[in-house]
Amino acid sequence: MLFNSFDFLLFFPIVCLLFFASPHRFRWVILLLSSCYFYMYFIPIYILILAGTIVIDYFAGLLIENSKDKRRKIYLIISLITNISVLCVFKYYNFFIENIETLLNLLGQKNSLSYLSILLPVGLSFHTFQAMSYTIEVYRGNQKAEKHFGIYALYVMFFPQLVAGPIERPQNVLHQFHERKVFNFDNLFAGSKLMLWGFFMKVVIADRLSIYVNAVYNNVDHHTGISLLLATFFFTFQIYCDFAGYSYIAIGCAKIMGFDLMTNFRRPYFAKSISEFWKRWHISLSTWFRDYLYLPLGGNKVSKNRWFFNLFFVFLISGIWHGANWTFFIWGALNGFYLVFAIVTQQQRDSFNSFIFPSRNNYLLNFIKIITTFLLSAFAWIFFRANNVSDAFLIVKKIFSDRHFNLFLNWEVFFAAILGLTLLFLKELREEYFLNKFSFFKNTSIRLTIYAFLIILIILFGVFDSGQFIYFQF
Amino acid sequence: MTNTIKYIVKIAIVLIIVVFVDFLSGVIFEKVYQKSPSGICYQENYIMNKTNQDLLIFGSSRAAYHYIPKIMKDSTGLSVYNCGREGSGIYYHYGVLLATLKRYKPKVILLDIDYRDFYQHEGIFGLDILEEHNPFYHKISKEFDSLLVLKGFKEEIKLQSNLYRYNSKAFKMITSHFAGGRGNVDGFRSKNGTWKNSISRLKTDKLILDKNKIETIRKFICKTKENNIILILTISPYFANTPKNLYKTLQDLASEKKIAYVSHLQDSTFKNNPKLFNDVLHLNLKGATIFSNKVASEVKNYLKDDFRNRK
Repeated sequence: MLFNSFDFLLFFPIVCLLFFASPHRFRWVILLLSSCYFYMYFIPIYILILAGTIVIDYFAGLLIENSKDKRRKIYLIISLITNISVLCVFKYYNFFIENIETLLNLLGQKNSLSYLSILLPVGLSFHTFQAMSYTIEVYRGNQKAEKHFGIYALYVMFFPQLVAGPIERPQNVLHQFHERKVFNFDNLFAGSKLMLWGFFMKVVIADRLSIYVNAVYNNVDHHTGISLLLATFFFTFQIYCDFAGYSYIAIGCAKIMGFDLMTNFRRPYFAKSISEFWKRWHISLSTWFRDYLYLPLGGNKVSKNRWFFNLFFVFLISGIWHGANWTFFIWGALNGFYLVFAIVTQQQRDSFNSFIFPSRNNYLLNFIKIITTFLLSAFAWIFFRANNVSDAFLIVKKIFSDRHFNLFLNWEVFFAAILGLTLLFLKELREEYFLNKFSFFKNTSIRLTIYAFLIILIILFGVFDSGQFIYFQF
Repeated sequence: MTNTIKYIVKIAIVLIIVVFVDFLSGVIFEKVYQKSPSGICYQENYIMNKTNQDLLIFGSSRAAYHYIPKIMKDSTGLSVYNCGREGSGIYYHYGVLLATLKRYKPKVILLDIDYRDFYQHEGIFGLDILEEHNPFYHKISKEFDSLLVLKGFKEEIKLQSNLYRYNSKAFKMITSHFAGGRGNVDGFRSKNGTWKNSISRLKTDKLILDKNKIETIRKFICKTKENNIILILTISPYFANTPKNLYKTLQDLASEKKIAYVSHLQDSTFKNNPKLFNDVLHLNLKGATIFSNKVASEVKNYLKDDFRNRK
């Protein structure tokens, strides 16, 4: 079930009603059944795969906690291997076979290998990582094993975050499912506001921009460099609004029911460096990789070369996590390179900056840093969005060298971009720099009018038949 | 309790504002839409509310770019308008027919059929195109309204909102008033490119007949018969090799209903000449001129003398 669907607008209020109307001891049942229904809306049979991994991880958690010495590690490894294997089979098997076939063809061995005709289970990468987080934290002693099977299953399957995160930690979420939640209007308002803004970002901005981006990126040969540049710029905001919009809706849904999920985005395009960007973008994933891959590899507490390897490797894996295509691999590698380059040149850049901009809080310097970071991430997004590697390089080539200035212009998308991106920019600018200013926003009448205005904009300008969120496919 | 009342009042205020704006938008947008001076909104409005020509051409972009009204008029002596519209399918054309019949009865209708009009196909040749008719909900007839809610009861609920009815139109109305629109001559628009590639096969593997679309074509035929309108089903050329029986279902239907059927699918004039095409699916102006002349003389043959005398 998609958040931006009529079915969800019926489903969610019903679930909320049932949740608050039920006695506390049955509420986990309501949520679990609702989550099962939500998941089975896509491909029902796949719930068996999810059930299988839930059972294995549940028992692994108990066994890890109750065992000593080597066996603890064995149970952890079994759990991790199970989860990673499911992920690899569904997500990477065909990609692996395709590349083996290409390699064999290059070596003159013509073989036709068999592919799996399966669809990727929705949200596989997300709930797999969330499940792995549980067994690792139990192993580390940071989390007690959950004895209630239903609560553990709910931890993995909680429908607001089931298909695209945020990827939660057991310490943050598990205890909340045991707590008695009481309905209150504060949560209703807070959650509704988040959902409203999420829907605006998704259906007004992201889906409108995607019309242009898809038209251009799916026909790279027929478009000029300037059109590709505009499409790249639009995609930079499309992916942000799509993914952050989803996160807001997920967090808002959970909030209405009294659950607090972690913040997943924090105005990433205001970052002044790539390092800062990754502390603001998909925070749940980047902290997952930090805590479960980067730090175990040694983090930055190793030799310099090993440190650079760790950074680069983590981003390579992050790239592959996003999809089974070499474009994601290159995207990850590019981000890894940015970080390593930034560290290597830190001293020189600091010296240069302090020479040109002696004052520490120089607005112009900060502005340049923000723009530079934005441009670097936008460049990397080319590889994320391109259909294949050759398209990606063709796009780069055309952007930098095409001398034809015929712009493919879709006026509807253009107006949508102006409207949506202006509102987005103003909201985020205020949150970033002027949170306590503009006190008229605290006026009740103004706030209510703004909410009504957003609803009106969503109904009037939203794209309702576009389908899935981008990160849905992961 | 006071807190609860306070929150309920806030929710009520937001809903009242939304409902009020929704109501107002119905009045304002209708006027803005109808007064669109150019572009797609002007053309839609004209096609649904203002046509009065003797001969109307229905179809997708292939109709819009293939049939030159002036040539048809010079040959047949009838006033002609090209109602072809990009990205539209049979559901859309049937809606246009219902809207037209509410106002008058044209003497002849040419319906250019694309293969996607009777095979399963997602997107614009499916039910999605019906959203273009949303501004006319509750304004034409009950049958028209029931066409619009073919997607299901959820669509019927959504269409109660004026804002939603103009959802697909909002930006188009802005562009119509401020950015101008493409030109057309009696609905005809021309493409001026030249196709440079060699002929290829039209991808028609795994095509499945769509019963609902075929049923809509039947309804279209019956409606024209009820209203004494001469209907001619036409197939304009593709620059592609197509299976010989691609249109068999349509041909059989035309034969069953005793409807004129004119096909240029295998016409060698076009198949051997990429210079007459802008792309695989559309003729360019030169191609459209040749095609229009051919169809015009064929149409003439179906029109009886007494019919022309009635005019």
